[in-house]
Amino acid sequence: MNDVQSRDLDDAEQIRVALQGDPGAFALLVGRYQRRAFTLAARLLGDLAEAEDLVQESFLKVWGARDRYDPGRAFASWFFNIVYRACLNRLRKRRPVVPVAGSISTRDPRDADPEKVAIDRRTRGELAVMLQTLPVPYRAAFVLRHVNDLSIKEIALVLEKPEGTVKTLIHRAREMLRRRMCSSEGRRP
Amino acid sequence: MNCKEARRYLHERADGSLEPAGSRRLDRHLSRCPVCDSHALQLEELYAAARCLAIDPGNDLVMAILEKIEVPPRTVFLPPPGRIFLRFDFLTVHLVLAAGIWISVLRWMGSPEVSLASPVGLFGGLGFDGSCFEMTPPLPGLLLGGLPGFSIPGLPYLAPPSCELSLSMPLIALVLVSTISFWQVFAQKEETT
Repeated sequence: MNDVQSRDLDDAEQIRVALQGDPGAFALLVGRYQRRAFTLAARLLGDLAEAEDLVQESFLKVWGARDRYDPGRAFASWFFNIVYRACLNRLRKRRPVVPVAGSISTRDPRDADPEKVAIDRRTRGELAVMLQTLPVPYRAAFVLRHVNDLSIKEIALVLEKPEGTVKTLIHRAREMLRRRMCSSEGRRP
Repeated sequence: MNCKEARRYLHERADGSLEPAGSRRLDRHLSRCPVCDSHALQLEELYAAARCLAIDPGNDLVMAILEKIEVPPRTVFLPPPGRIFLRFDFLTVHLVLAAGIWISVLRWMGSPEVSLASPVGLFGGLGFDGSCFEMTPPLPGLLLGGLPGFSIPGLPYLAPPSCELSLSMPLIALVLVSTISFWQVFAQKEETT
């Protein structure tokens, strides 16, 4: 058994115990998924406080619906689907909020990461704002793929769209962002 | 490979769906085409920047969630006798006990035909030689109204209690089982509240 299979089994076991109603195991589950859930919510909503509120709600929804969880389905796609749907509901109810450049990157823990130092802060801030201007499905697909590192198959389950559609969404999002980044830096796209 | 194909392959590689052969072809094209190579570099920069868009919610989120979740009640621990009774179908236990009472009543009335009707080999009844026997250990026979006083050859003999005791044992057992059952239900209710 390789490391990936072993890790998947550990994940499945932890999820099983957590969803049986063990608060300790659920706390570990929250710890494991909170960052990605928060990132998705914050990048879709553009508001940290609202994203935090939504992520809390989503975890509480998971806890309340744990009896209905199908173990045959990947937990990540089930959970991120809950977060995504909650985001869509909130976005429908309000006008979009465009954040100030870089404002939602201030709590990024990678500040001490050498990789991050190498990346221009301005570029990140601009990318955050550019991302905010994309239509919601493009934004969600891009964040799930390139920030949360989900596979195309998982993203299709989260967005409830065919894999081909998801690929198209991501390709277009990449191209839009690449062109805008080049334009903002005065480079030829 | 032309440039249009190369752009498509770049995206497929980023999706994780490009085969190794396609990946090698793409690399060969990139090494020869500066425009596509620049395009690939821009995408790499985009991915690197995107990885830094992750946001940490802070340490309070886990605690905030744990404070709000409703922890389900613990499963009640039942002592071994209670567990055994719970495992049986409740109705079946009471039906068997009722049958025992019926047999005892008929025997108590002193009818010899009744002995023939008793369930041989169940918990007590008519032996192969025509005599009544009681199962050993005798408790199941007593509980179910088996007529004591006879023993299976080779097994310890139990002194016969009176016919009245033989009748009263199923009643005692019935009261006992009902008490344990009600206690269990009550204990579970207490635990969930």
